[in-house]
Amino acid sequence: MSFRSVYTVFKKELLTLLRDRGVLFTNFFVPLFGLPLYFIFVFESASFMAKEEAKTTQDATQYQVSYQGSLPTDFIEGIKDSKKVNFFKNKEIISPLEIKTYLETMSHYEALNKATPRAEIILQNHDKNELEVKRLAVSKAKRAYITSYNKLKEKIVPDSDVHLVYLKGEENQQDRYLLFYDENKNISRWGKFWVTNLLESYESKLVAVNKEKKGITQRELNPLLIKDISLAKLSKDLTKTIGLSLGGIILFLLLIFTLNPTINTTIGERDGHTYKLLLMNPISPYEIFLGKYLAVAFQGLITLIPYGIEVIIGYTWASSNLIFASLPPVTPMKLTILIVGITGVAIAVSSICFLISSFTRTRSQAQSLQTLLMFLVAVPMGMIGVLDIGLSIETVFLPVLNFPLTVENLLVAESNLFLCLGSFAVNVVFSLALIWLSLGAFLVQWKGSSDTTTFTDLLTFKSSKSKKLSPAHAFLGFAISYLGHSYGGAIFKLFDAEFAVLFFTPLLFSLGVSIALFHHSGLDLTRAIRWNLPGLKEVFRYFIGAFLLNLVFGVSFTSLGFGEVLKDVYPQPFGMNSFFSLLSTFFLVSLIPSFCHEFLFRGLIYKGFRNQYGLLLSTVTSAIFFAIVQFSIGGFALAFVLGLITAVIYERKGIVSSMLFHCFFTSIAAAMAYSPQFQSYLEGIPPLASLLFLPITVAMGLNLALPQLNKRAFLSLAQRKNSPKKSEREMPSQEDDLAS
Amino acid sequence: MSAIKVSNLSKKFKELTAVDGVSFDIPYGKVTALLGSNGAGKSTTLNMIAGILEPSCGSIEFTDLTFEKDYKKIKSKLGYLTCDMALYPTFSVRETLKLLGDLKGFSRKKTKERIEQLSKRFDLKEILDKFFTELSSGQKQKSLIAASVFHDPEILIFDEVTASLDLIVSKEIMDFLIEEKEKGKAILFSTHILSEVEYISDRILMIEKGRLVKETTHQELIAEGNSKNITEAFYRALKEVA
Repeated sequence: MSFRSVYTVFKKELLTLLRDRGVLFTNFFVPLFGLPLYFIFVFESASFMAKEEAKTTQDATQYQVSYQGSLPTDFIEGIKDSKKVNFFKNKEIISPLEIKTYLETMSHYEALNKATPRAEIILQNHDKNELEVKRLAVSKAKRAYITSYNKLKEKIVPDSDVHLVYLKGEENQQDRYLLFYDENKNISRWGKFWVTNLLESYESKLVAVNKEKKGITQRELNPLLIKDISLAKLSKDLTKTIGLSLGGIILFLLLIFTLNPTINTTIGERDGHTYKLLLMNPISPYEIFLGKYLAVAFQGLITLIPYGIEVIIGYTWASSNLIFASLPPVTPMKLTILIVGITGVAIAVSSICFLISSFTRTRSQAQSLQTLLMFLVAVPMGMIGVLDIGLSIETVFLPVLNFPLTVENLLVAESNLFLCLGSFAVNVVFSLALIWLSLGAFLVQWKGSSDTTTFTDLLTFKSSKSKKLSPAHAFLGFAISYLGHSYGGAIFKLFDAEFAVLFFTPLLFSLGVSIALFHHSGLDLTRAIRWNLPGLKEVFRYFIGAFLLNLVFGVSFTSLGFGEVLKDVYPQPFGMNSFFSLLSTFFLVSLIPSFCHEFLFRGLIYKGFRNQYGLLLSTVTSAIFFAIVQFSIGGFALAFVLGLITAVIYERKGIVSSMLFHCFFTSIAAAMAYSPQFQSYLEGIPPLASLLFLPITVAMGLNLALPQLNKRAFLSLAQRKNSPKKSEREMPSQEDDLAS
Repeated sequence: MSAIKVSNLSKKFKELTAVDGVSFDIPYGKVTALLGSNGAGKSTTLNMIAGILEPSCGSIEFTDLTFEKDYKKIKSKLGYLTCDMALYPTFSVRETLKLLGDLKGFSRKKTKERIEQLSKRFDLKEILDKFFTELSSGQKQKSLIAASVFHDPEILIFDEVTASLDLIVSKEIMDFLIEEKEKGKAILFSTHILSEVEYISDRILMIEKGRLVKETTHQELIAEGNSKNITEAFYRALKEVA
């Protein structure tokens, strides 16, 4: 084997990859702009959520105390001597709850020892609050113990000498201490004030001593940092969420970004008729293969480098700002494991993609297999969180095996999400049907398609031939999206990642699926969808229409006793007491779902059906699909009507208009659902009054739909006259031109 | 001395037999034309000779060298070009030629000299730094020829390289093949343009339905049936075979 030849092929492939505009986007734009924006968004949301939480509770529950170097002994001794604070330097207690349990157990212990002088009661297990009674000589004493224990259990008064305030050295952090108190007990609150006062006075003493010194840093001058720990506590959950989602997002991106380069290096050479040029050189096919493989693997790695650097900077920065104070520290060992693990994953992903594109005959086959792989591998991997820095090496390499997905857990999560759709059995049947259809859609794509993909084709795995979006795409998109929404959501729920359920699930499974399938079908995304911008008049019409429709829904739902349904459909993630909270709610509840859902349900599913079926079937099907993923009966009715309207708007005016209407509708609906005044106002309206709004809404709907229906009706009539057998679906569309 | 010795060469694609037991020799210093109707098996034969397709059975020898033992040596001897080949779209012509130089194991100096020579010969100076996709059909074909003969091969295999080219570029390519022939190189080419066959070929091999049906010269082909020209002669020969 000639290494020079391998190197030349490697160099050539790498140059080709680097000259690909897509690679430039993925290797520079996304890490330099996309990821920082993502980090900023997540951190801002987190601190905002923490502030919101702090507003609801009167006092912050915990404080974090930090000091450069070790906390001075005289200070610690001062605290200890005061006998008002229990000071723990050890690591046996790790949470406020456990401290509380521990102290209550201690109280039991002391009280019990007084009550049963003949026995010695030993604290057996702090966590489980178990007491073991030793040296109980006689059964009488035992009975006495049980009676007194049961009595004492009901009313336990802590020793009045001890304030329930605890300062604990943080695990693996020499200079950080956590201060806990029990917010339910007045005595504990006093203790907190006492400690904070003590800390503050100590700090001013230190400042007074140090300020005379020259060349002193700000930190030395002001060495004690007392910080509300609710931020740190929240960021612990947040880290988990970031760990869970970021790994998935990066892998997801990596897979998407590896798809085309790997296909270009293999199938692309044949499609571009350049492979013969390479084969006519004195270089063996094995050397060519090796050179290409090395280039693809290397590209996978260099894609990761900017992300890796950003993640490390992120963690380091976060650590210095005490945000991740409650996390284990980032040690060189853990970083090494992380880097090795991620490198392994990157190479593995690139290798699999390369292997797939080496053994498939067409671009479409390779893309179809790789898309499948993307969802099978990236999503579960992301959920486990390869980038969670606290994870072990096994978790990095074998995430799926380590995942504690028990039937019980899944059932609980399932029942939360599918409660309104019926029983678990119904979901199993529904999911199986979708898996079957998506398999059909996949195989239809695999075989390469024709213009006549029917439902039967999907059920029987027959093939079609076209580059247009087809019902096969629509089904595949919907199936993956549905399964992702439900099972992905369920898995996120297992981690209590409400934020991820709210935000990442629709993003990953709606937008991700749509983009992947558009990409997969070989269509230029920017041209396949109509992006016409609506005029001002149109915007006004959408707003009024959305408002009226909401009134009809609001009144009829409330009068029928389903007022609460609206609140379920539009969960309220934050309070409504600041501009930023309103803005964030608008983003999470209205803007992002509108964008993602319109992309998937109108851009992909409606369009896929519209390319082959009539207006009515496409509109109704896309609306049903959209309604199903709402996972509630009230949501179903609401989304079905909304789906019908947005489909008509999409058909007439393009995706921006349908997104706008959707966004108006959800914003108004959410505002109505969150407002108690509006709710009581709605309850006051007699049920029949809702009928008053109905004609207006119907008129508006007809105003939108009629011109379109007329146009279609005329065209189909004309077509029927010309050729009676031909269906009305032969409307020329933009995709026809693109596909050709 | 023959440059290529093909014996009993066959290629099967599942049910279809594209080439069926073909045997012939290609001598040095002569231009051999491969003629046949569409789907006769010309390109498959040329692909097998170029080592891009593996034969189902039969052998191809290049003056005692075979693909099994001397793959790289044979590849250094061959210059191969088809009408559907292309250069890399993301590389300029110069970069592609440099890459080929690296793949052939040339030194940088030699590569540079060769690029100079070829750009003079095919008038490529203006397009050397352009991307392949920016070139006209004629320029594309000239740059492809430059790429295929970059290592100055002793055997040239050209498959319908003048299809869809104008007369002037076609003539330039034919003149180039004559020059190469005069240098003593073996040339095997296939085409549907019979005037080119008449212009440069010394021998004609006619393939039909995967079999070698005639080995002749264009003069003999015309004389055989007292035809007026080569087009008529070829048409008659095809009919005979059918």
